[in-house]
Amino acid sequence: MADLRVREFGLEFANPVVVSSGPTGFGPILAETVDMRRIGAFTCKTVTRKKREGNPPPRLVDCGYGIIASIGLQNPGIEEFVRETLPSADAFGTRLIVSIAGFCLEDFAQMASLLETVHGFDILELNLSCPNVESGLMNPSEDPRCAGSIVAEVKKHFASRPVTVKLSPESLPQDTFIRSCESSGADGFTLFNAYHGARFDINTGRPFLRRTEGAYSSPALKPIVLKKIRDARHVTDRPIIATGGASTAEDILEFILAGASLVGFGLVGMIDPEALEELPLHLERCLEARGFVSLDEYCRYLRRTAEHGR
Amino acid sequence: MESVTRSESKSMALVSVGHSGKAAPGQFYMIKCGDFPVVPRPYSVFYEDLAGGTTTFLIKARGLQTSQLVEMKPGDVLKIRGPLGSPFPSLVNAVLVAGGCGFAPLHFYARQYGYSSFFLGTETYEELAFLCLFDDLKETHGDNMVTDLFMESPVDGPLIACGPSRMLRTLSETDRKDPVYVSLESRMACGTGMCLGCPAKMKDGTILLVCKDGPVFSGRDVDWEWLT
Repeated sequence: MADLRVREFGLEFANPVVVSSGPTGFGPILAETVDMRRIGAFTCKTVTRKKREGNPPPRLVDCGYGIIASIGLQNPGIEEFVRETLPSADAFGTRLIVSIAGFCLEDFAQMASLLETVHGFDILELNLSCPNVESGLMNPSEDPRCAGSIVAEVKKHFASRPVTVKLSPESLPQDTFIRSCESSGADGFTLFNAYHGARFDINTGRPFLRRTEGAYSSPALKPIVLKKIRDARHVTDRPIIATGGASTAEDILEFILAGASLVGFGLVGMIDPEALEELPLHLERCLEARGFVSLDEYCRYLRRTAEHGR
Repeated sequence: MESVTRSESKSMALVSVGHSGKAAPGQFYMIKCGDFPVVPRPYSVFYEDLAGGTTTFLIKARGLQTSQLVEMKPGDVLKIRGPLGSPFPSLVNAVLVAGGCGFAPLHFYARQYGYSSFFLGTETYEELAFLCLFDDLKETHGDNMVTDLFMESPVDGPLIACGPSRMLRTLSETDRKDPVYVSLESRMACGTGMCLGCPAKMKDGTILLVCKDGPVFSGRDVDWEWLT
């Protein structure tokens, strides 16, 4: 079988499949269906300093080619997460990414300090871009200096493991945000959070979602995100977890070609967990069908080909 | 898919699949047909024939997926996951109140456990004619609300209801001594409690999930102000 191992963030991953933060929650329900050891990494749903009940319903609206979700960061708060949720996630047997969001620098500092003392996870994700909550005292998705100051603050308190920064695809100019976070100490990037979307009921004249807008997930976003990943790769050589639009094993190869180090899957895990588990198996077959014994060999071959073709 | 029976103008259909998963009345399946729409939708079980190995769902053509489902032909393939969610309690002399497609789980309940009275309200006469499967059904359609019909001749006994949230709220807030069980409708994505897309707040402030903790709840526990 083809070797899918990837080494990024100074860590070895069994394969490049990363379950993105959000759609599959904190993991225990997914783990009832999926052998998590077959996934490269699992990202827990984003946690905030204090408990949040999330947005009132309706939180979901179907869009045919995808779905808009407006959950509003429902979570038990960092302390209960560390006490109750993290220990069970530690038993998944895969790389674990903990995701946090805050409304002020103090939130991030507190959570980073607490997590620095906690074992059982490998990477810290800073969600600087949730589309489904009202802005707090600061808005890192609109101000690159603000994004950078959060990264710097977190790195002051959290030094034991890598930090990846999750940016909004709507945070522009993209290169300014990436440079600001990188110069503040970001070890890598999770690109991207979802685009904002909305739908309206033509019979009632009202929006379908209680908060009108939400996070749009769809395989149809793939070419847009691929282009943005390529742009991002021109700006940074840090690891990129490419998230948005990937749904098949072939998509993993395409995102890697665009510049991704690892590839995030959100919607797939939510609607078809078995398909998520099969992705690494299909990726092995993809590589073998093309005569490669490893993902690494495939990437090196294509880079050589691309360089010679210039 | 095994068979499909459609209403006169194909606005509704009973779709049977060759699968039986030992569902109990009130439980649902996530169903997806083909590659589009991308996200599956939840459907309560209308009836499960364990001996025949089929499960039947009531479909009303409203959106992208339901419009495809009513047009499906025997032999077409559906992707289904379930049964999911908690079932109705088995009660003696239950009063059943259904609105529209809310008839599906109550039909299953009536066939499995019986009832003392069964009220049904539908949007059109065609739907009513299609769903009039019990001789003693108390029925109404169009602008005449099933809640009004129920209030005109209230019947004692535990109440089980399924239909639009406003209907369930009215029934839950009715001054009755007997318990009220409601099966909440909600848009879902995962159907298992992972995505937190289908919340229901209880009066004690707890946020529960319709897919995992429900869809059956005590109507008096639900914070209807938050939900509707």
